[in-house]
Amino acid sequence: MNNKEFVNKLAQRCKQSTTEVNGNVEAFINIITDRLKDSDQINISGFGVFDAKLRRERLSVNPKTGQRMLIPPKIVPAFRPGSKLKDKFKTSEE
Amino acid sequence: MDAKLNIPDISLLLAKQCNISAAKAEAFSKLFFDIIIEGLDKDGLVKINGLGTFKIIDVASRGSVNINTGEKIEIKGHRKITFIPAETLKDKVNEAFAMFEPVEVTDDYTDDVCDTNEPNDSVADENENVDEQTETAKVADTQETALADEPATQQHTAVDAETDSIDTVPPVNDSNEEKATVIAADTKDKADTEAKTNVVATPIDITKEQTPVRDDKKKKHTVIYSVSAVLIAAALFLLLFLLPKENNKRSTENVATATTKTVAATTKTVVEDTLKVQNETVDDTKPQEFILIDELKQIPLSQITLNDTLMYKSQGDMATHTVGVDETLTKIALKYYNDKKLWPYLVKHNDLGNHNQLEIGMKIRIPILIPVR
Repeated sequence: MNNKEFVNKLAQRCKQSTTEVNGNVEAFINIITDRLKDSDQINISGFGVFDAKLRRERLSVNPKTGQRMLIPPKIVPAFRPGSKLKDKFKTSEE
Repeated sequence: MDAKLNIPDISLLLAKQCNISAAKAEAFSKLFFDIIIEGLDKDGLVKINGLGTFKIIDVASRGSVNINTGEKIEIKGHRKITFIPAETLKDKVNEAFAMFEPVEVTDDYTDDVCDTNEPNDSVADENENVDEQTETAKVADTQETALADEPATQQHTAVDAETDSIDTVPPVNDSNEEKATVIAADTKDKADTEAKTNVVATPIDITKEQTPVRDDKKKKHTVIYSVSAVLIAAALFLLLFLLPKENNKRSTENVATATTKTVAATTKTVVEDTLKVQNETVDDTKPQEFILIDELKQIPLSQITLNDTLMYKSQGDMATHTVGVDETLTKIALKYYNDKKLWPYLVKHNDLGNHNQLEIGMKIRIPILIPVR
């Protein structure tokens, strides 16, 4: 399911036009992004948790050349699925 | 910051931003995630622009060990949900650390720098020593001014007399004679003792003239230097004992210092007395040292002890030395100057590129060292 299909389905369910839903989706994602930027945790029951994790700086060595690089610290967005969702897909076979 | 939000909180924010009712916003956000789950169920992949991709992946079965019993167990293959954040989301979340970039770490540290610095270091050492010398002069000077009540005229005459004595060839006797006359004229008068301290202190003035430039730099460290000054004075005094030639002259001077000491003891406090003694120990050595340097060309050089606390300039050759077995520059310096610390002058004078590699049979010119005034 790509973005277009997703928005279409959402519009269908909300009984709104796709352009309207598109704007809402954009606003919604912006809100999530802003919250993550402030290192807030977004807990969605029945789905999972979005949060921002700090990756510390580290030294990495290129095994071929032996060149050492200092990788700077960074904050990455992360998603942990909730147990309900996890179990649902764990057992379901295609 | 670090707040925990859930659907109602986000829905409120959404309602505010899009001007829709809170109930509508909440319904929307619930639907949003429901449809993601539906999509995952259907395709196993949901891609949302600006947020990222949710994907179901297969995890192969793998063996593991029960940490409590040590029993081998098998974790069965299953499927799990992964989330790959979109680039825009990643960039925005990482905005705070966006300025960092991976840096290549190099460790090309070589010891070349240390090698080339070695002779410079020794020269710097000497400069420091010279500074110490000036400090001793300064300390002595201040003590002298503190002691003297009417020093102006007497000091001038004393300076003149002393410089004269250094210029002329047999100067030790001159100064001694002068001191003797002073002693002869010496009564219990305070003024006379002060005159004598002036006479004794004047050589130090000369040393001060030699190296006046670096004075202001080290003013902060006067305490440290005064301590080192005392140490140097003691060392010079000990050195004098080792010169048998000067014994007679020194004994007379000792008498002189003893007389001044006794007079001073009667007039001054104990503390001042000890200061004076330090003064005199320094002063005793100074005139003789300078005379020695002046007479450098006449006296057999191996018998002269050059002080490594002074700066010298090399002028002309006094000998050429052929490097023998097991000889180093420090040993050669010790042989000709009686001070192994003067070896950098040999390097400078001979333009030795690599001074760590002397070869047997190498000719080394030994410079005549003249203190820089």
